[in-house]
Amino acid sequence: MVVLILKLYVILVVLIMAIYAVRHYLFTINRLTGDQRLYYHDIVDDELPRISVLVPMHNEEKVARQSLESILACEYPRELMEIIPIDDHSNDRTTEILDEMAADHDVIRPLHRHEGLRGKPAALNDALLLASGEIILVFDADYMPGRGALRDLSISFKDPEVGAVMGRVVPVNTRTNLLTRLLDLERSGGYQVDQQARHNLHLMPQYGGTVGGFRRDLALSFGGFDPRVLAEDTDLTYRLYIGGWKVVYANRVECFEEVPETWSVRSRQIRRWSRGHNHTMFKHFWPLLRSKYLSRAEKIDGMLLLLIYTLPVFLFTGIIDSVILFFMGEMQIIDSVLVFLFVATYSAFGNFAPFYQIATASLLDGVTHRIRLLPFLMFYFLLNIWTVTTGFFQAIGDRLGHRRAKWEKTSRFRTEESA
Amino acid sequence: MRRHAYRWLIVALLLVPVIAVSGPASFSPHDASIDTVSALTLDSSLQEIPPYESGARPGAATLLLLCFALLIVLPFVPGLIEVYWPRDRYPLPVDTQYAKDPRFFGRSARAILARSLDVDAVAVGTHEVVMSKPETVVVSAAVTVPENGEQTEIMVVRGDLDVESKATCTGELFVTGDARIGRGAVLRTLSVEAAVSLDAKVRLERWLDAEGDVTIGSECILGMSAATGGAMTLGDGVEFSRLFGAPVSTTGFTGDAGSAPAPKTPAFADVEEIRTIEDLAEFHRDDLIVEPGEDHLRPLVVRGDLTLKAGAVLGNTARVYGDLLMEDGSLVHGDLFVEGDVRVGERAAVRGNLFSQANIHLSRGARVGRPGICKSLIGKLAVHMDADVAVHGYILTDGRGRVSCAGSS
Repeated sequence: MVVLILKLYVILVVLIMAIYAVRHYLFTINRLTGDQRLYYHDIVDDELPRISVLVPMHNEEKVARQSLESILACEYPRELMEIIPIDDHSNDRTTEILDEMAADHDVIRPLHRHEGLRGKPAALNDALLLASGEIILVFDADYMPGRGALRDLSISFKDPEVGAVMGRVVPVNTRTNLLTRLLDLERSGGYQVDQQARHNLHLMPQYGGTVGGFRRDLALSFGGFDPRVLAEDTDLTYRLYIGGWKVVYANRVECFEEVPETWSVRSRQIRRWSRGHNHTMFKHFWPLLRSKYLSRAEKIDGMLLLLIYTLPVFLFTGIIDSVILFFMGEMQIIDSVLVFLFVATYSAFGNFAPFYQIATASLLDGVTHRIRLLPFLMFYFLLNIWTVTTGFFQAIGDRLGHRRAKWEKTSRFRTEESA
Repeated sequence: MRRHAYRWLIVALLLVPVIAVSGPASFSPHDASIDTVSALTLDSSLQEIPPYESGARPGAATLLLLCFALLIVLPFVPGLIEVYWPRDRYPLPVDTQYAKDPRFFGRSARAILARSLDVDAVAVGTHEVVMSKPETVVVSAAVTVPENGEQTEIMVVRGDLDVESKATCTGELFVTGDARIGRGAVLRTLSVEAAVSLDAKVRLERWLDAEGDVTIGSECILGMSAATGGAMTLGDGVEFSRLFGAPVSTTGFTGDAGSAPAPKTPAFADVEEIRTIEDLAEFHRDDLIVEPGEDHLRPLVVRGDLTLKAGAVLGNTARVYGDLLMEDGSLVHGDLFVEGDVRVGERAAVRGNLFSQANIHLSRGARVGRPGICKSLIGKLAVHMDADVAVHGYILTDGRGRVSCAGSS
């Protein structure tokens, strides 16, 4: 009986992996040959909505000034915008920098938080109550939006069905080491192919929490962001879709960000994402399937997206399962040529799917030499398997123990000189 | 040098198994009797050879190990080269200065010219200047390019420009006065600080930008963009990709009739009222037909086709998943976002933006936008305009844009 269960589990893992491989191929082929839907950034309109730009900051003295200056340099009518940098329990010079900037620019209205919960969701909740814009745009403190970013993001809310918009994140510190270069490849695949294909196919592009925005009224109607959830962006994405709104992806709205430069920082970041995302998965899985506003394709895509941080867990446990079966001498799982062909085909082509997606993204971006690094992503995936798995079990612990996850800020690597 | 290093490394790695096969240390003369392929495929006959007797087993094992190592290492070789001799390590090129401007081409070209030449002060004559690259610029007073003539240099005209029929100008033209372009002329770019008139069948290879009014004759081809700070009138058969004007109109347009102000739309005082999209918008899962006299003041989301019957009015913005048909005289006070084809009937009007992922057809007398406010008409696959059509602002299509006055009723 135990052997049977172990064998069935192996088959389940192979099937799950095959489904995700097909998903990768569908998205990639769509980007290469499919119909590409336009985003709204080509709309030229004199009547723009009032916006509030929120920039959560915790000890961001290295980047605060540059980030705010980038936002100030954006083209948007000053009378229709405000910038709210959120000083979230900072104990470095962030507070002083924000006050200095506010003294020089009326449009900057800092929010200083030195009491209550720390963390992005809690900070955003306080800022939402202060904000006067009907549209909220969010940038992380290390982001430098381009001159047209505010207009290009906010224009999408002319569409009454749009609840949130997401731009593209581009790593700026790619030159640092192999890890930053691998993260650059991963980001390319995730945005240039994955997000855009989902936009093209009327599936579920995701709001990523930065270089994006949402309607203030909707966020408030949901009771703001859940401070227990580490992935407040994914949480909002699913609340919107379940309620009938859409998230649109703006591939043209590109914004530089700093990616982790050490494997330990990256591990912590991934673990936090896994914990938060899986928490969201437990919360929204059934409501997603029951939503009357979503098409069947959206539900399938939404479910696969919700389960994305369980995939390494399946893989990890599947590997352990196969090792156990091997030592038990029970590797003869199904006697069928068809099954053999399926597994062999998956081994040959299925495993290749994420690499194909990333290579396609590089091709679309017009940069090709970097795809020579693709095989090194294997090591990165190995790291992900472990960190995502631990994050998954932490999320289960959060769920069962009703415990509150502690917000952990990703370390910055920028120096005063490089800033 | 790097390319050579890469090649030599590949050659060296490919030589490993060859050396392993031919090397005396791995094989004794007795080994020659062993089929290497059998060894590689772990043929069952190999199992019958007793270990350490023939000396073949260690050689085959070495070969297998080397092949295994080679296959493991080989995929990483290009990557290692990229790590140690990087050719592509910089961030993706993001244009942080990009901001949508429908008159980008003209403004940017004039800015480049102004950086390299003081157009108002420089003497008439030929000047060698560095723009984006070294260029010859001819500065002159009013100019006439003769019939069938050819102008190849960049030209700055401090006065009016006349290009007679079938002349060709392959250099950029900057004109401070008016410009008149004769029938069948071919121009690369044209930047004008006053009014422009294009006779029939003029072909613009790239763009046209003017501060004053622009009149386009029949069957002109307008390249990537034609934009003006004034009004633009298009003749029959004009083909275009991007147009910008206040307004852009087709033959027969004589002005906008006054229209009733937009109705007051309902407001939600309390966010507690919002749970789903149906709390903010009118939501329809299937097709919808709007009859005259019906009230539709909230935003509309239609997952099927939307038809506005003749004389029907929408008081707000609509999002349509299927096709949109606006029958004659219908009116939309807000924006329209449509996945399918759009047909705007005769004398029908959209006061906001009109955006379609497919085709847009504007029938005679149709209006988009309103005077004094810039709005957009975007049809991804095609935009067709009949006579007496006006769009206040920007028009864009990735496919075919065409005016056809003759065919309209």
